[in-house]
Amino acid sequence: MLEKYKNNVNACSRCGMCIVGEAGYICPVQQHTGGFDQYVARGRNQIAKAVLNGELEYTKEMADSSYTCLGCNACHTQCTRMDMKTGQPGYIDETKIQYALRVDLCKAGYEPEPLQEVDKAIDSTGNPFGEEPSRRAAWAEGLDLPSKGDTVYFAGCYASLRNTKIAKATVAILKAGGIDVAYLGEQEWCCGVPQLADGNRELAEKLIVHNVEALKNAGVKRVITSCAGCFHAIKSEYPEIIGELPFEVVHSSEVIADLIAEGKITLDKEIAKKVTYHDPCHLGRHEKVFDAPRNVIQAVQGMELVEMERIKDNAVCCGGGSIVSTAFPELTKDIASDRVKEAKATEADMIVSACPSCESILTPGARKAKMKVYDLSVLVAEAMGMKL
Amino acid sequence: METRKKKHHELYDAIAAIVGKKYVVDDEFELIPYARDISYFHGVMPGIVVRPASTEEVAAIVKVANSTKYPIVVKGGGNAGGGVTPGEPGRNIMIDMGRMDQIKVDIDNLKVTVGGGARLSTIDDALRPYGYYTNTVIGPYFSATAAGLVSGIAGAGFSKNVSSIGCNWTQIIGLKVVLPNGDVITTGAGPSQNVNRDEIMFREVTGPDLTDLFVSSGGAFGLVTEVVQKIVPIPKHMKAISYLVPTMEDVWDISLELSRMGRCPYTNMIMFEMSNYMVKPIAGDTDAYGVLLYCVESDSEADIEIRLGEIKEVCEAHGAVHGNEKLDYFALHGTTGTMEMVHDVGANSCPFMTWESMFPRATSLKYAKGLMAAFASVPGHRENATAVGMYLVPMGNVFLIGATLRSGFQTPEAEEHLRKTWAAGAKYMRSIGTSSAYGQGTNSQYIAESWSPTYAKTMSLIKKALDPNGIMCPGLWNL
Repeated sequence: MLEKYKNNVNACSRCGMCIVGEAGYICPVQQHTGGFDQYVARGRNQIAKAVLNGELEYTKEMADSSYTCLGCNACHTQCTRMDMKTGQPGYIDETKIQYALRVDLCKAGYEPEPLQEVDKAIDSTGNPFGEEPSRRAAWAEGLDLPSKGDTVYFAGCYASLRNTKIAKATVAILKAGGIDVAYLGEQEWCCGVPQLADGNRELAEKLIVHNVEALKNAGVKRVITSCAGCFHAIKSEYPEIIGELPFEVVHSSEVIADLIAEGKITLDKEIAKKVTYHDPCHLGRHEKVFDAPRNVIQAVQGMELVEMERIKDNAVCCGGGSIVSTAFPELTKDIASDRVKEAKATEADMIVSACPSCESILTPGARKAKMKVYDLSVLVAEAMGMKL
Repeated sequence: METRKKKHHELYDAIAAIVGKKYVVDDEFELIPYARDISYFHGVMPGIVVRPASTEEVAAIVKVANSTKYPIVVKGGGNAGGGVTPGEPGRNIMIDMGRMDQIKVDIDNLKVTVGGGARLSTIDDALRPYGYYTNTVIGPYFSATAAGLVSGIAGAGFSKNVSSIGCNWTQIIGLKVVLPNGDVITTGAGPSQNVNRDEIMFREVTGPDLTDLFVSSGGAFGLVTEVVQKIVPIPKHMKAISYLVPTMEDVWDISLELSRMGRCPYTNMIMFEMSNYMVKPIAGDTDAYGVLLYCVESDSEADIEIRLGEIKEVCEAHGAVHGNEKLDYFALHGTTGTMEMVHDVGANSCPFMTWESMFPRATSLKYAKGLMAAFASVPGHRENATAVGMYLVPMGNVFLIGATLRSGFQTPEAEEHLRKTWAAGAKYMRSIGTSSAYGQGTNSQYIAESWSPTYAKTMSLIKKALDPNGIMCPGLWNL
């Protein structure tokens, strides 16, 4: 699959704009490893070029190096290489190049073992945790959500099986705002974002085809997700793989911000806390949703938003992107710990994010720093006086 | 699943004992990113790459290299444009200076002490809160390193305000250098320096000043691990203006006239040919030859207006017309080494081949035309295959003539065509005696061709005295 990106790989000028930008060092992986060029985009591109030219054979070590990329797009945001024929910037998509290389590595048997285990779990159960499919919809019991409708809430695996408060809160907020949401239940499978990242393209396509069919069958016109990963996958990755979708995809932070702006929900309960917001990569850099979550936080009575040093396009990944958290958990832990330190420096009481995965990754470090990590939906539900 | 087949470099264990295994690599895929600079010159694979954290670690590595006669080469930001230092392919110990990025600001003494691997942008980031900056370089602001700039570029780099202040060597207070035998020398004067005068920070009074031996040396005489640099207050006001100029001759007439003025009205200036990919899209519909971009800085707004008026008078007298707002904006950032230009230069003008040569002001037009004619003489010269864009920067008694050769196509044929085109320019330059800007790779060898026999002999003696085993960046300067 890397062959598809040959021109883009060759276009890399080795200039190093992917190493340092306006907010200092760009790649958290480079900062938490030996820092060699193999861990930044210009080095990764040179390795990919050598593979394409037949000058480099796969090895486990080379594959592992590729699998450390978080897919956070921080380097892509900094890289200004334009298409010389059209003048359009963003010619080199560093994340996609790594993902394409991983497809080839995966086919050749070089996928790291922990990721193979995740693939097996998803293939057999539809979720990365290997939980029984019947447990997926347990959080929605008693909510009486229809299986068909114009608007479907796509909960995602984390909110369905690990932090169900997020799913419950999101649905409760949407209902309070007058949005009748349907839910696919067991027909909702993993969105496929782990497989898009780990190179198991076949499994990713199986999940994507299933989910799109299920959504079509539900008669959906709008899909709302509270997971940044699901949001990015369905909104931007699905169409690249199976063509234009017959429905709109939005993130819950955008919907909630609209509901507040339209006066359809009010956040009456005062929460006198100082909070900082962590931009999830899939929501922020990948999809450019920066303001909606911040507007929501600022609508909470008594709440003060204090920003970290690196935010929005310059925000640092939590460390869990592209399931690096599964393949290299120690690396993830180090990166997450640094991000928490940055949050702590703001003197905020809590970190708010809009991605269940980020919340999960940041929580252990935050506990040590005596901070709490909140998902945006849970925060809003509390600010609306809801008991989850 | 295949695992690593390659044996470790012979010095792997010895070097790992100095820096820790985390900071040394020698697998083939790990070495590939270190084989080339940003140019289209062919690469050289190192044998091992190490990322030391301190001068002491660098010194220890150099001692190991010396005792085993393994060559050492160095990488800063990787922005060299003259080809990598040859050394001995497959044996080289490449020192990546990136971890040595510490920055110590000393406002009281108007200086900043930085590790060799500190990036220019991060140095400015550290100084900005105090209202200061370093007058370092207009070029790869985010990626070039302090030591890379000092040792790899002529005059320690063309500073942001090179037109009015001069090259960066004038801003260097002192250097810390690991010599080829592993000794550490500090040039300049100040606390804990080799010339140990606690209250004197003025390298000019240290007797024979060794600092400039290492400036633009490419690392042939030692590895710069620390740079002490002057800091400059950020001016209160800054304005810029652009002028579209009808012909190449008009560009020179204007530039010569402004250069001859008792007080140069601009702080910095650069001219791009209209074919340049950065200015072409924002210039609009024009048949001008090029665009002159002027930046004027001052603590007085009135002073800026007077100087802009002087520039306007000269430009308009030669048929130049004001550009547009976008070009003015580009001038503001493009001539001051920040934002758009430095973003785009790095990513979009390369991989490239480049000439930056200094010619006497009066005769520079003739040489610029000669260089461009040499490039154009290469068969198969095609727009977008190999595009040459010339630029001009006045620097005191000389004009810097730059020519960037870049390709819109990323094919082996296009790369080869670029190398051929560059070679045609090289032939021309060597025929008149090159004065190129890079103290690196092939460029250093061409520059050394211009040395007199006595100068070459002296350099050779210095090299032999400092580096009897010839381990430090072998292949530079034909030494």
